[in-house]
Amino acid sequence: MLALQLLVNGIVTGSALGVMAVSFALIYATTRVFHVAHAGVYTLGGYLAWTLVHRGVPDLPALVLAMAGCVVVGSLIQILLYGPLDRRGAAQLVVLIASLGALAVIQNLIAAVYSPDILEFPPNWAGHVFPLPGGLRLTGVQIATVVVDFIAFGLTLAFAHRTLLGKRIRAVASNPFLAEITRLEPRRVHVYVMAIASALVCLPGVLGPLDYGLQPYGGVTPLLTATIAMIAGGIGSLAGAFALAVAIVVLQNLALLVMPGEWSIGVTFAIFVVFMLLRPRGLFAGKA
Amino acid sequence: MSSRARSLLAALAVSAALGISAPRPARAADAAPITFGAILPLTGPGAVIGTEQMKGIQFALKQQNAKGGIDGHPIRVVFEDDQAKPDQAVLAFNKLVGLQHLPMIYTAYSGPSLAMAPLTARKHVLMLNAGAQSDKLAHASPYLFNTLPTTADEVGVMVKYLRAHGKSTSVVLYENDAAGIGGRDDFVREFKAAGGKILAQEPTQFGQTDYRPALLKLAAAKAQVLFVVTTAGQKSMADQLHQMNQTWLVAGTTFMEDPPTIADPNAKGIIHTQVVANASPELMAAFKKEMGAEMGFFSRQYYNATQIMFALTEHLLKEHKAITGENLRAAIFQIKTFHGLVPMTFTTNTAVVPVAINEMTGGSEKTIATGTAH
Amino acid sequence: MILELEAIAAGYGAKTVVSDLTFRVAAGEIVALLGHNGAGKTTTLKTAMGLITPRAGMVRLAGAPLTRAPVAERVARGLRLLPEGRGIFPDLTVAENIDVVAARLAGRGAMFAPADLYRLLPVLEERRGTRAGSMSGGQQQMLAFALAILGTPRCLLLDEPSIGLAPNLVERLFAEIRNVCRAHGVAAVLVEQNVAAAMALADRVVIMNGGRVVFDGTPQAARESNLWEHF
Ligand SMILES: Nc1ncnc2c1ncn2[C@@H]1O[C@H](COP(=O)(O)OP(=O)(O)O)[C@@H](O)[C@H]1O
Ligand SMILES: [Mg+2]
Repeated sequence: MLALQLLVNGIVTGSALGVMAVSFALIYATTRVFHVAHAGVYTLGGYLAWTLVHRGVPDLPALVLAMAGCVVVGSLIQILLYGPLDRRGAAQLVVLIASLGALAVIQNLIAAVYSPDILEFPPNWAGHVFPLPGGLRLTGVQIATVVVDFIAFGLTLAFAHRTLLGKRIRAVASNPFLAEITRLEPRRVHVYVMAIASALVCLPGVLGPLDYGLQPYGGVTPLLTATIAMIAGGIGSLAGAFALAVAIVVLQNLALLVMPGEWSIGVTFAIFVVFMLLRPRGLFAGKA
Repeated sequence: MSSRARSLLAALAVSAALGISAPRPARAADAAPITFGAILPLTGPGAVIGTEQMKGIQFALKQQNAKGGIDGHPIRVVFEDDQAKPDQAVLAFNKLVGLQHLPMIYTAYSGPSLAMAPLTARKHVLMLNAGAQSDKLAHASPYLFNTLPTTADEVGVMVKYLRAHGKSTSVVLYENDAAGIGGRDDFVREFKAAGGKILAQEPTQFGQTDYRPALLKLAAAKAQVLFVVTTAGQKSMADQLHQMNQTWLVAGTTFMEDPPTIADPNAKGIIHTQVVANASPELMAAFKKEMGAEMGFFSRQYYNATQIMFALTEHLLKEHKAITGENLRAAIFQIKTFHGLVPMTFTTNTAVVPVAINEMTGGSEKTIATGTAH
Repeated sequence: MILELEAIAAGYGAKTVVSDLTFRVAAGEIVALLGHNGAGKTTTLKTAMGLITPRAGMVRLAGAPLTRAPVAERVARGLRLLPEGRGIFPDLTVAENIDVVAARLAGRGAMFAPADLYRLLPVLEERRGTRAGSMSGGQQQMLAFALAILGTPRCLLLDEPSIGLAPNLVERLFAEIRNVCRAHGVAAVLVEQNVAAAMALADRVVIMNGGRVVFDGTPQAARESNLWEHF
């Protein structure tokens, strides 16, 4: 019973981190930017939704509007920051530092506007408890999280493999040089990717805080796990990033059966190190 | 204050309110201002609380000075920002005491207060703490006075209540930092001393609000009580506790006094200790009008501490004694019981104050028991 | 003239790799661009393509000055580069490779639509669903060539297309190049290490050394002169 509930909770939280990992992986594979400011976009989505809900906007339109806000911010980061740096041929480290700067700006602005304290959504459907077979009990937001995030992951995969834009994005990721000389316009594709990934990350960015509350600096820890999942899952593999994120969180939860909670972050890194030793290119890396 | 002076002041207040300029009492204009200091976190992560504390002091000063100060002396407080950092606090202390020779300083956080404590003893400066609750503050310096009970005292009230209600087994969820570990240690010690048994403990990280794994593990121990010492993320915890459908009694500390949690239907049945510092609705309204903010817990605490400071000053002026740290300290034990927002008695450096046990009713909360800490 | 490079100087950073390079390609003409490793052949193609901005000189395409035009515009006007060793999207399937490029380059009335490519290069039809990066080197080069001619090419810049291919595959590939150029009047600049095969295919031979053109003439003249001293 305990193990089952821990497992299911792990899958729920893991699916949220999975979508974060997938969106991060999409950006990294395509633009080669280690977009840590993604954590800021994730956080911003939650605060935007919170603001709208407090202004009386119903939950679903609030989510959609928050996603639109994230799309704008993500695209602007690409257009005003990464794009110009790329054109000037900036080193990856320079771009990473710029991204860290953007993250700091977003987080501090949020903290200045909303206070650094934890903000809570008003009591709503999210906290409603649904008893399930096997003694499982899930809250409304947990069910929403696992359903929305798995669907988002499925749609992202379908988008990447079935649509022309998805293929074009994968082409840019696969060979940016060839993309340039076949008029795939990689720079424009980078903006599309940032827009799509920002909309995607807004889903866990809103659903997570419905469960856990909002914190200006709350995006960094999930992003850390998400990047580990991306690397261990094989850079460029969206399915790998998602699967590893779920696996890591499930293991973090189950590890509690045999060790104290302080060690759960340690479990994440242990998984990472083991993976890097056994499969340095990641679990699902192509056989290039 | 004599009743004649009182009615004169009332008349003044009315005329001031009507915009009539009346001649002030001659001695109010003549009397020199009396200045104290306050070292609070006004920037940085503690700024929200520090600002709330500052407003409590400022509001009390405005009220009192509008009434002509103390015995005609306007009262001033110089504010210094320590960002809740001990080293900054010591710098500020040296500035206020070394350069400006102020006899009394307000302080707030445990770290800065403990850093300044030895200096207060050396320089004979009275220090009033109305914000921090670390057990170490109780005996840190003969000059450091606390208007809040220590966590140990507050937890003691809860333990007494739990044992009186037949609870003999408990598990503990604590935040893995100074505040959480301190509270956990206090509870474990007091609960065991009262004959109870601790079955399990689990830590959480500050700001990490997914408590489910830890709570599930604690639930497996099947204790009668879950004692919680976390300083943030209470509403998420209430929701996650509700999800688990456990029969344990959830007990917490003052940190549970969090409006979103109280408003949450899922928080129904959670009990917690709460230092009593109630303000009348009129005072709350006046504060809001004057300061443009709600009179929160820390505003009330520092408003209350400022009433103590007024009483001490008035006492020394009446006795024609100099306003020094030594005399202020002696006056505390002479007056002994103060009547600010709550009755508060000093037999040691930490006040004996009423502590309530509140129960959340799923939307609001009610007091189900009251004890005194100490 | 379909492509003209006039007195080009180009390089990387402070380093000048190509200087005073003049080089013309007539419509439908196949030019073999030869020279030893590091002679500046790839740099020349990249400059023509707009991937490197020349320090001096002019680039014209079908008479229009394009020295500073973006890559996309040159591609739209029919200039195509088959880059050395990386002419495919390895993580996409063969069909996806073709679809994604066709969507950008092969509009209505294109000279080569996907269907034409599958007919021209049946091996691609067989491998439609295969991940491009997992195919053999020969198949990958066939795909790279297919991507280079998708749409309506006027001038192909082929940078060592036969590298790493078995001799029979080189023959097949060169046959396809000849076929496309001759049947459709497409010009090509063929950079090759395989000198004999390239000369057999070419109308004209240009030899570079140290970033300059040191020979420009017919294959016949090249064979008669002591060509090897230029290498
Ligand atoms: N990206 C680059 N940065 C700096 N130097 C380069 C770069 N690419 C090529 N070079 C140098 O330019 C010269 C010509 O290179 P390249 O045009 O590739 O020759 P080729 O294709 O004829 O072998 C060589 O000396 C090479 O080292
Ligand atoms: Mg080359």
